[in-house]
Amino acid sequence: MTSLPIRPGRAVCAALSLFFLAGTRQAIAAEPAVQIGTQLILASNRDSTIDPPELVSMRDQFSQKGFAFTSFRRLSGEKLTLHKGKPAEIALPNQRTASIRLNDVKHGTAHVEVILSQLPSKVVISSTVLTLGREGSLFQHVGDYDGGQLILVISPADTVKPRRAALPTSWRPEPPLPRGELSSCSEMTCCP
Amino acid sequence: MNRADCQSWTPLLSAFIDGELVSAQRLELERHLSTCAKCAARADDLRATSTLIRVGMEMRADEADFSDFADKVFARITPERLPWLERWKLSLSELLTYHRTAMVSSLVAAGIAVLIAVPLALRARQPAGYASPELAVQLVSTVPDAHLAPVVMKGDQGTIIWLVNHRHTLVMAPQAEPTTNGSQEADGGEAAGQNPSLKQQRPRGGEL
Repeated sequence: MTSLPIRPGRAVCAALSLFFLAGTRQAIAAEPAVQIGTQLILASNRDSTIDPPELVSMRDQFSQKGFAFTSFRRLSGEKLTLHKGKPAEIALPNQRTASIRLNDVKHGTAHVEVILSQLPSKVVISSTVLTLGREGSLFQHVGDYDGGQLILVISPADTVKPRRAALPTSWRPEPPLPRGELSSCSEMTCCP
Repeated sequence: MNRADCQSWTPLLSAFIDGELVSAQRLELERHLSTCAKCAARADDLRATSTLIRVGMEMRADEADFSDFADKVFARITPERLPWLERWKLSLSELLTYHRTAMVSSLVAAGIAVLIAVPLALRARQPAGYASPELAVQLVSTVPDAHLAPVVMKGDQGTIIWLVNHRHTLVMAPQAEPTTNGSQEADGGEAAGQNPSLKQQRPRGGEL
């Protein structure tokens, strides 16, 4: 029988080799990077606004824990891609900044650190190390603002709908504090 | 010449004209034709008819176009090129017939490769960094100068970390230690965050 120019066995082997080469190259080249969703929520007792309505569940959660906030307003929300060694900064309206850093990815689980700093000196106030998961969120209190309390919510990336235009129009950057000085009595001393 | 003689020679006339008779028969028939005018006339008619047919066939042959005759013949005798699917089937059947061991080992290797590659591909689809089922707080710390105590509370939807300022309560209540994730710490933090004044007002027993 005459031999034909194209051999299926060779073609299959070649395709598999290319597939594994590409996969290996991608695995080697890919640096750890994870996506998270962040929201900045202003909780207060000013009124009973829940904006957006999805924050009702957050209100209930806080209510169960003894926080009697009546108003929850999302000031901003965005998806962030964290790369190892490249922290993402979130500027907060209360002269603070939250730096979210991907420390490592071990066994598929991302270890993330949230560092809260006071501007302009960037004095570190607190640090929170967490491991990301498919469910659950971190509600990190980041200080008071505009008669309420600011809460930074960190969630899995697919749960956040970006919303950037919710900052109150009345908000203006406050004058910077003296270098190294922390604002006194900015945190709650008791339940709201 | 009698009638029976003519009837016996008549069927041989055509073969005689075509030169197909053996010499003995041909000599006898020629002798008969020389004596029988009727059979001789019949033989002449047959000869004329044969000539007419041959001339007519030659004329038809001259009219026919044989310029691409050879190409047509070669086109018929050359095997037709099969479509690619048929070629692959043929090649596969050839491989499975004559190279069975190599093909079976290749298929096994390909199967193993698929078994390895499919889970990897499915894993790649999962968002990176989310192998754990639930978000968990590992460590919370504050700087001493900030006079903040982190209170960790675990709820249904996640973990709340509340920063409690204890600058004015240092004298009245012990400083809250930085807590780690856990229900006990969460409960303690919540209590500290909600009602620090309860500790101050709690009656203390006197000396016995």
